[in-house]
Amino acid sequence: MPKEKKFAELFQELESITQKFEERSSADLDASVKEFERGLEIAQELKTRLQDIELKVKKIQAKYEHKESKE
Amino acid sequence: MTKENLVQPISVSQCVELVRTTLQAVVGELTVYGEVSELQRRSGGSLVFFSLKDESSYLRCFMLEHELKVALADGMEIRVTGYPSLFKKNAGFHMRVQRIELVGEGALRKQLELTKKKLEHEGLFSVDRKRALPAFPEHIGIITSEDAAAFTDVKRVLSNRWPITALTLVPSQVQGGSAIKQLLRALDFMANEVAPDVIILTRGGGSLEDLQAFNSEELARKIFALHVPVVVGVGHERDWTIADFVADVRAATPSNAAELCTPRTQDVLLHIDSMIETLGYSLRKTLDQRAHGLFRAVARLSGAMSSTLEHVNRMIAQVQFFGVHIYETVIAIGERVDFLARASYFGIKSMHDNTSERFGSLQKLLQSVSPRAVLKRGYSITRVKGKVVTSSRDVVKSDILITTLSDGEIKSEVT
Repeated sequence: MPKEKKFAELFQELESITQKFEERSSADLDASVKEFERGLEIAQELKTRLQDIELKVKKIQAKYEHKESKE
Repeated sequence: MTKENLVQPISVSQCVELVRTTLQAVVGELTVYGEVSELQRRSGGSLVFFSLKDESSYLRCFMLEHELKVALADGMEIRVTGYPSLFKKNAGFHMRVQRIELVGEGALRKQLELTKKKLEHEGLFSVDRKRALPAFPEHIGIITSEDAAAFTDVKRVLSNRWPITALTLVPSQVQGGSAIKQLLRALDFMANEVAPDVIILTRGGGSLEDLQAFNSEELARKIFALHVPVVVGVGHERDWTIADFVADVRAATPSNAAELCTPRTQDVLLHIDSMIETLGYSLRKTLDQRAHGLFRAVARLSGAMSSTLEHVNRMIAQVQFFGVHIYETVIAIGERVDFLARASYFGIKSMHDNTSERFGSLQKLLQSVSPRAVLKRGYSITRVKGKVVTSSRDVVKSDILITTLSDGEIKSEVT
């Protein structure tokens, strides 16, 4: 799964798959299985991203001060 | 022109000019405090006139509109800095004001009300223009004083709730002389260079004077014009600032600002799980429906199949050495039920998982006709060049034979 996809995009994709499933449960079986697998894959990716993460804090001062000193 | 020249009469203009320059030279710059009255604007609003008064005197004041940085109103206590002067035309004495400061809580509050009213009228607080915050921010920008408790609070809340986000701090003074200027720059820099998903502009609580920067019209207009949504969280709930009103989301405190722009990781995980559960349930339901249809089809077929099976069994008994023929026969049977197998791929899977009891007999049935079952009894299939060997005449010396057994293959050479 491409890492560039934003969390929100993946979450939205999972939501739309779920919604589709809820709306028509007897859809084409092959497609359903494929989408089910895609749903599991997304869920796994999302969960992985949420696990064992520590807040990354960055301070941008140098550049800012530099900018300020130019003025 | 000096006094020595005054033995000679001078013109009115010369007189006015003399007094004006003398006043400026002798008295120079002054700071005067008093209460504003008779405020008026002339020349299309570009000239501002007012009086500054105390209990016994009043002083006419004049300045240009663009020099006026605060919202002025009658009754406000202010401090003006400028120099005394005369109007050229009527020699009217006045104070040429260069700078105005608001004095005391009352003036600040009045000024605040005026600014609020003005911006509200212009639509800066309109609910329609407020932007929605991203549901899952992955980059949050924070503008506050670096040492402030506000920054620590935000960091703590984000670490607990939504550590997946990156947090970038662009420090700025939040009160004092250069606070407004710094905040404006920090906001510009943040929105354009850092470009986070959302910006938190925050500080702890304080007096009305402390909060002045957050009440400035310039800051309000900057927040309004930014293309990144802004959450403003100032001090404690009882404080309000102009920045609160113009913000896309107003938070009560710095911690609250962090809460409002992030989901809770546990909630998101729960949501993901519940979606997966829904998916699984829907898919099982679909499979059950299919399995049910399959079951009926199988029931119809089973009669035909059992008679075929009897035939197969007889063949097994009678021509035990010709396992290959049996295999071929089974293949033929297999073809007959091929559509069933194809149609039932998922059904069988589901049968196996969920309804094995219902389909157990069918499974056993299928197993008994499978060549694998036959092979298990000790028979094998021998092929040469992919063709099944049914006679010793099928092979010549040096042919490589592949013999398939129930659990694997043997490769051998004809000698």
